[in-house]
Amino acid sequence: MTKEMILAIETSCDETAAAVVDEDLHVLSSVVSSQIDLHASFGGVVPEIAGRAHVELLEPVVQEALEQAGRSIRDPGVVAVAVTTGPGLVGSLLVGLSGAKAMAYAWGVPFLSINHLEGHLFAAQLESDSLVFPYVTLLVSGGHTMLIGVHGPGEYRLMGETIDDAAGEAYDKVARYLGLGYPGGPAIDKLAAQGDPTAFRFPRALPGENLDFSFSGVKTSVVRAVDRSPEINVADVAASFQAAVVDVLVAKSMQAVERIDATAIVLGGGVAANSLLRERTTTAALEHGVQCALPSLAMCTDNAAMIGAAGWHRFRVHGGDDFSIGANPSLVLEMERA
Amino acid sequence: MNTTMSFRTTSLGETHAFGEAVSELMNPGMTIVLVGGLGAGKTAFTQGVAKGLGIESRVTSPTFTMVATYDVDGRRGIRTLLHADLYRVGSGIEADDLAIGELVEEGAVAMVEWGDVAPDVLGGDQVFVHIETGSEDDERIFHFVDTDDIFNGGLISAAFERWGQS
Repeated sequence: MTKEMILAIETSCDETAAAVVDEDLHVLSSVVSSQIDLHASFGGVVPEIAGRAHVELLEPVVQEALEQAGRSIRDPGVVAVAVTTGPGLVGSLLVGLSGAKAMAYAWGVPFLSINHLEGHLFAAQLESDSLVFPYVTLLVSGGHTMLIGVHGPGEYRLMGETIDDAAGEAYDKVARYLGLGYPGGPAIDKLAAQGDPTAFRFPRALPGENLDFSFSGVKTSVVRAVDRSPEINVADVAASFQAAVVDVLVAKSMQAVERIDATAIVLGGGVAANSLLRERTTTAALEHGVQCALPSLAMCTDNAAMIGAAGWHRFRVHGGDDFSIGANPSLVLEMERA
Repeated sequence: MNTTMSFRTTSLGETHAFGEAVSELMNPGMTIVLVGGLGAGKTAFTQGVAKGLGIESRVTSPTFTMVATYDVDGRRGIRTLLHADLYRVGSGIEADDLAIGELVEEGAVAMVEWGDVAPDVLGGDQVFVHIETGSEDDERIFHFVDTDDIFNGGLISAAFERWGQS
C-alpha cells in the first residue's frame, strides 16, 4: 500500500523550498532553490528581492518536488499542504503561504500552519530515528540562538536564548566588517582555519549557570581590535572570533544537557553547518556520554522537509488549520520557559 | 536654540539607564533614528528605552526580522514601540515597504537602527541620535541632533543632567 504524503513549502527567508514527506517521515523529495547569489552583492538578504524571487521560483520548485516523489501538480496525491507561516520576512512568508493555501484549496486537502523553529526541531528526527527524549536542541541561525529541551513531539522548554544578537547575525556582521562578504558564516569558518584562535581573547559572555547568550560584546570587541590595528591579521581575528562564539555555544549546550539529564545534543539552524561547532559538539558529547545528532548540512539550513516533518505532527494532532491564518513575521514558538 | 546635545555613558548599565530616562520624554509619533557603527550600542540603548516604557519582554537585535513591535501600556498615549533595523535594506523604496512611517502615526514610537540610510521614508517626528564609542571600552557618547526641537531642549538637558554634556 502506498504511504500517505504531505507537501511542505518553506519561504521564510532567502530559500524557496518544497518537499514531499511520507507518513513514516521518509523524505521523498526536498528541493531548495537558494537566492544567496542574488543577495551576496548587497551583503545580506534584501526583502524586496527575496519576495519577488520566491514568486518566480515557487511553482517550479513545487513541481520539481512533486515530480521527484513521482507525482505532479495535476495529480499531487497528498493528504495535506504544510507551510511556514513565521517567523521570517513577511514578504517572503506571504508568497509561500498564499501558494500553499491556493494548492490546498484547489486539491481539497487541509492546509497546515507551521512554525519555522518547530521545523528545525523536527529536522534531526528525519535523519536519526534513534533519538530518545528528552534531548537538547541548540537552534542557532541568523535569526535565532536558543537552547530548547525537547521532551516529546510538541513538548518544548526554552532553556536559554540570546539577549541581543543571534550567533549567525554576529557572524554576518563581523564578516561584513572584515570585508569577507555574505553569507558570513562559511567565509569566517574557512578563513578561521588559517588563523590562530588564541591570537585575541574575545569575551565569552554570560558565564555561570545562566543559559542565555549574548553575542553583542564579542562583535564590539572585534570592531575595536580591528579599529586599533589596521594591519591586523584577519585570519587570526576570524579564528579568535569563531573560538569565542563556539566556546560559549558548546559550554552552554552541555550545561543544558546536564540540567535535564538529556540523552542527546542536537544541532539545528544554519550555524549548525559550522565546522568548528560540529567538531567541538561531537567531542563534548563523547565526553558527556550522550548522543550527538548533527543533521546533514542540507537539513541544518532552511529546507521544506523539516516543515513536512512538523506538518505530519500537526496533521495528526490538529487535522488542519483555518484558511484565515496569515503570515506572522514574529511568530513565537509555544514553549514553557524552563 | 542649541539643538545638538551630547551625553556620555561609561557602562552598559548606564546606557540602559540613559535609555530609560530618554523614554520618559517620548510621545506618540516620535521616531529616533539611531546612527552608529557596529557595536556602538544601538540595541542596548533601545533596550533601555523599552524598559522605561514598561516593556517586560526581551528586546533583541531586529536585524533578522527588520521590524519588531512591542505593546506599550498606553502611557502618554503610547501603545506600541517599533524597533526597526535597516541594516539589510538596500534602498529607500524597500524601507518604505516596512511602513514604519504609517505605524508611527497610530500611537507608536519608533527606534530605527541604521535609519540614516532612508530617513525620508521613516516619517514621524524625527530625532537623530549619533552614537560614538569613546576612548574607554564601555564609554559611549550620544549626540542628539534634534533639528525640529521635538524633545524641547530645556527639558532634555534638565532630565539628563546626570549624564552631563561631554
